[in-house]
Amino acid sequence: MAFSFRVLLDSLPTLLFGAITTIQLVLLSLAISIVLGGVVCAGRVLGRGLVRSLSIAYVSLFRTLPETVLIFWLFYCIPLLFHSKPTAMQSAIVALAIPAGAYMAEIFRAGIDAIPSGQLEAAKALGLSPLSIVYDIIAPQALRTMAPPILGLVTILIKNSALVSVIGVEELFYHATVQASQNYRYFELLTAAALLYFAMILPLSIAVQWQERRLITRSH
Amino acid sequence: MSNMIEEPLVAGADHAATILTCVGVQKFFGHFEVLKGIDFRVQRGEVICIVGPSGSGKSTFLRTINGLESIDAGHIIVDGIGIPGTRKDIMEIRREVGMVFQSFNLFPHMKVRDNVALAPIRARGLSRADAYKRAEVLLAQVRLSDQADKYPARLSGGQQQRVAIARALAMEPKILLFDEPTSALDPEMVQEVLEVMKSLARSGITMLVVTHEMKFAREVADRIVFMVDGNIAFSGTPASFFDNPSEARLRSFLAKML
Repeated sequence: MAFSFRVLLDSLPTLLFGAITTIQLVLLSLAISIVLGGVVCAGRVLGRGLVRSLSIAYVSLFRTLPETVLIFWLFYCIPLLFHSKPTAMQSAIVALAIPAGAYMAEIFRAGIDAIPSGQLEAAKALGLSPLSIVYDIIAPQALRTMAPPILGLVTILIKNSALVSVIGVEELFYHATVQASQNYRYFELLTAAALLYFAMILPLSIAVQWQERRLITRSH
Repeated sequence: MSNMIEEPLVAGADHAATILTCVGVQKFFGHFEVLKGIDFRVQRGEVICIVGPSGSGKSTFLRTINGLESIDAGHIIVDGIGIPGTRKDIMEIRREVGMVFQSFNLFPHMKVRDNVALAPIRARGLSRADAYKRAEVLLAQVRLSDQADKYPARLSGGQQQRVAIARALAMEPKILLFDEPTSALDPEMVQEVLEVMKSLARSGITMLVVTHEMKFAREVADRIVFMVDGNIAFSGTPASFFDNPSEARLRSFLAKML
């Protein structure tokens, strides 16, 4: 069967519709992972005893668990544990966010660790409040070093989002495979899906490069 | 903070002249006693150079004065505020005590003028306009007006250290601490920083300088404090320190340094 651009173009509206779901999925799980990462990082850096141990356990557990296992586990096991049954989309968002939160915590920690101790000492010696130290000194410097790994994580989130098609979330890859299984145009549909994933990730890396330049040359 | 200070500095004319009092200041790093109960008093406007062999606790002692190092015993009173104290007390002390570090520690993501203006805005509540006006004056004072819009990384070590001095001065501190301010500099840049420090010393600000620059110490200091093994082994005028070193340890130190 020859590759047909016509088929590829005809499938685009449906695939774009799926891509919107993909983006929603990624943005929501990203937002949750930032909160989770912040909490876990704070627990590890500032916490003592049980809080610190739990934070470390969270990171090591969810960095080692295959995403697919977590996706299935949450979708099938949560209804057994609780009376409510989350939708596939809700379950997918959480399943993507939990391991991303573990990575995010480590990115935050590395970004803070990368700041020389002299920066903190100079800020303290000036009598700056803890809030000002975080806002004026630590965050702007940490963000600069954290931007590339966060971009990497968002890229991984976009790619991992294709996995949730297995529990029936109607995102980009789901639509591609469902349509292909109906018209047997696997060549066109999977190629189109691949191109759309590429198109989602490319502007991200351009945006981060621009952002890095802006941070470096920015006046306070 | 209890006021159980044995010395008569709490009342009288003496108190008005005293800006810093340290009583029995002790500090451990693990089991190692870095500071062995230091008693020390500084008058307003005094310029004191703290010298001594490395590992004698000079820098650690200096860093206890603005609470960058906690102390394990004794107490410190800076212009009426005590250490140990609440977090608020320590923040208040830090606003009154400026510090210049060996490695400059300028904020690399801010331009020179922003480095200088930040603390007055954030910690003193100055308006941006006033803070930047003040930064302008201070940068002129350290002769760096033309570098105000550069990032610190574009400046030489000597220039960076002069910015750091301007940044500390911007808080209008009552005491200025210098922790080996020229030790990280290339030899040809040491002088420009020392010149700035000399003119500061003449301006009447209280200065505590940990340094290995003996010539500077002799020329500028009102008093030399010589530290050995976590104790103050000598405290007196530069003349008595350099010209009639009384003690064997002191003589052997000077023989190495001069």
